[in-house]
Amino acid sequence: MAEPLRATADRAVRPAPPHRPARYTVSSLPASARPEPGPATGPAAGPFEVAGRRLSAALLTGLPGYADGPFTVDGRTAVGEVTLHNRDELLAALATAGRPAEPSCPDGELLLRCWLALGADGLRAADGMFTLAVLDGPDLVLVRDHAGARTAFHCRTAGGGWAASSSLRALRERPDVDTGLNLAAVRSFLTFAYLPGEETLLRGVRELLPGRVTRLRPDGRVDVEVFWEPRAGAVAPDLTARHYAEELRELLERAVARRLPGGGQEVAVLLSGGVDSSLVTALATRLHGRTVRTYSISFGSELPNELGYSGLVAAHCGTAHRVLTVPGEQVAARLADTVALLDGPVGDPLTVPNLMLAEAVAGDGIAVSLNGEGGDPVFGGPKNLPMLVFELMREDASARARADAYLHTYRKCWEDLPVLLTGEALAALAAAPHPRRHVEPYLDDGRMPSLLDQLLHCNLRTKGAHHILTKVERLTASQGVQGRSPLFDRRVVDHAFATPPALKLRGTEEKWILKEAVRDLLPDTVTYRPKSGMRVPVQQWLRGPLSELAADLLLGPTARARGLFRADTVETWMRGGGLLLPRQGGKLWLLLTLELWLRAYDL
Amino acid sequence: MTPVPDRLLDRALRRAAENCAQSGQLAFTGRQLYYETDRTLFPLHRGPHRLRYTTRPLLSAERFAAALARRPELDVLPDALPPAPHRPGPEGDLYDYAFPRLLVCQDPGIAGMLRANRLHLEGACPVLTPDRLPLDDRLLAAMERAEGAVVHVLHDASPAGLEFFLRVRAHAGSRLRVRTAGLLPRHAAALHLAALRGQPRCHVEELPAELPAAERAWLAGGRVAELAAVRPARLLRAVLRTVRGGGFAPPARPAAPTRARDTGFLTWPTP
Repeated sequence: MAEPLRATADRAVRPAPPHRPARYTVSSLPASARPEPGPATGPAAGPFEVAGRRLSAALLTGLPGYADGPFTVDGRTAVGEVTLHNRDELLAALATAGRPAEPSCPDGELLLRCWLALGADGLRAADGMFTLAVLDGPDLVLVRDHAGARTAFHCRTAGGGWAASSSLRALRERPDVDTGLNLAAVRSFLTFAYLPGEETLLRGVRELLPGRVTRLRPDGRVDVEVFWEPRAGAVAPDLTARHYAEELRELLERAVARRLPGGGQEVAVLLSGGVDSSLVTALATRLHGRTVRTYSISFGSELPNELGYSGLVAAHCGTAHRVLTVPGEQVAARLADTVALLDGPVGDPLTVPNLMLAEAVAGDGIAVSLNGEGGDPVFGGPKNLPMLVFELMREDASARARADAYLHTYRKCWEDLPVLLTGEALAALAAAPHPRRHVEPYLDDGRMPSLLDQLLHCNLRTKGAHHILTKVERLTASQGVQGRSPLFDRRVVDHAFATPPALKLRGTEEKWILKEAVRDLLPDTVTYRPKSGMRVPVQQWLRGPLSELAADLLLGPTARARGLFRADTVETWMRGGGLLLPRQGGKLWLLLTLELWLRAYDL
Repeated sequence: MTPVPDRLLDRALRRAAENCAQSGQLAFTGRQLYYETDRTLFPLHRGPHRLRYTTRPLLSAERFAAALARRPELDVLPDALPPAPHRPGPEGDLYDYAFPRLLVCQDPGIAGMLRANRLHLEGACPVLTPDRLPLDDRLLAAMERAEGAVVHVLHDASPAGLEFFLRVRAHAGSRLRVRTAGLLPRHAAALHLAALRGQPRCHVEELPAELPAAERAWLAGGRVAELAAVRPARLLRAVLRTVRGGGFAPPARPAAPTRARDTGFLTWPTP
């Protein structure tokens, strides 16, 4: 295995920037349009007129984010939420191109310079978490990072312009944007437990897709250029499993090293006890010269937990370990505020615990926390077997059949929609685009010659970008903490897709190559433990501390008046009936978070 | 016995369809609906649980077919389908991994019902029909790659069902565990199922010696309990529990042979 990269880490990592809570908003309106409602706070660039458009960019200070700017380079003005992990490389590339930048320039400006000087290559080379909005002549150009660690939204305005923001709420509050409830997105949410693509719950507002440059033109056209997409590797018979594991180990070390804070700061790692967060913990302790603090969750001593594994890893790696107990009463008390922080509801019951972890990290004075997110979607975690089984039995050759099977494997409310939604909602959805459109392009992608890689690609581009990373970002940013995910590092992802699929899912051993790459770092008990996942006691919560809240919200007059869900079905689920398998808790959780989110956004 | 008026039969059929669908979400076959309609009209199955007995269907198949024809809006799965070709995608890596479990179902109609209710996705378990025998060599190799892989055989309580199990075991070879997940007379009796009579008889000696004598006699006497006689929801739950593992209930009777899992499965819940 490669030597630890402590020296490299120390060189490459800069002190974490001071947290300036801000998101950004930009707009492009016809010059003849009435002046747009100006941002209440924060520095603004513009309005200025270019090619008959009135353009402006501003920071929305006070909102929990990392926006910076505006910057102007070569006549282009930009704002963004940009954190780069490889500044030195990018500065060198600019110098080589004859367009050097000031070494002290902010990350956002550096990224803008890379794009202007090197085009898509400049964005591809940028390792980090970013969205950038550039006023480029009469166009608005929006960029989102490779995997989707940060995000933003855009929409058409009533006056014939465009508005974009890293805050969905900011767009919701604009009087010149029609942001009613998007019913098709409700169906997507009930199918996936998050919104898997551009769609948002606000009609007409779209989320940026990762790895893309989105150009919004004055005439309403949207041009999308892909600057990064993982590619499957060519068959290389001379390369052994050992070769792939060793290279992966090097990349993992580099990915963790680049995400460690410099300047003598401590780092936090959210440690579940699974192999993904454990390997990040082990690498962080090897590569960081300062204390590594680990944080784990318990839902109470009487409920199943993974504290045995996380404690073992913490002891093995010598971290300062802290266990947070999250009782159901806390979840009930804080769920509404937590959901309101998100740009879309997330049916994952770990949102409140995630927020409490971020609070604990912030409370300990730590600005950067690492996590093990990404191992499953990128390296072949659980849930691929049902799709292999589908393929084995497949009688319908169409791409649609595979996409439909994929929707079923999500096991959310997709199959329940006929009995869950009211007749009016079902009728309104009859002509709406089908949720399979979010996954079909990935599941029928000839560029990925293996079925497993198609499944992983789909996971990366849907759940990775629109659930895992966005949830992490919004919840950690709300506490002034940067949540960083080394396993979503673009080079790690590239390597994962270049690895033969049978080394990722080897027999029934999931993430085999990842485990091989780090087996010397962790006890075998952790590396080769059976996968169990974080068992969240949703059912107990809904029967106990959340029962009153759920009943009030889901059967109350506001929900009934909205007319989305059949009260008889909700009541049956609350009584524990109506389903072949006891999954009422997870389904009710979806409805509960959706209802809270709709209320938080006044929809 | 006085024939049931069409009006009552039609009403029973409607109620039976609701029972089979269980809150409108389960798909079921015409044969399953037949048994449920029979139970609705003649609830002989409602005897005390401690008693072990089977009933016999009192509703004629012809009258049921006529009643079903009067309700074309009922969405009923076919009891028999021509073998469907397997149409995999163009990717060639399907057999590169491992399949830890497989279900082979004697009754193609029931296999279709399990698939229509997506048991194969829920249990991550392929559901194959007899026309997929002999088992694909690539599939067998992929199963052998999984530690402890099991082939489950789902069959009727009938001599043909037991013979089917033996046939699958022979196809699977010695390196895979093959377990029956089918009905035995004891399960039919515990569930008070309607059993067909007058089916082809066989000699007691031809039946597996592991079965208790009473069950062998029951089978040899020309009685058959079909999988379709089990309520759809119960069938789905039982099969899912079986293929996922950990669903083996205590033996139905203390005297059951210890090798019973290899001769008659013990996963059916008592009522």
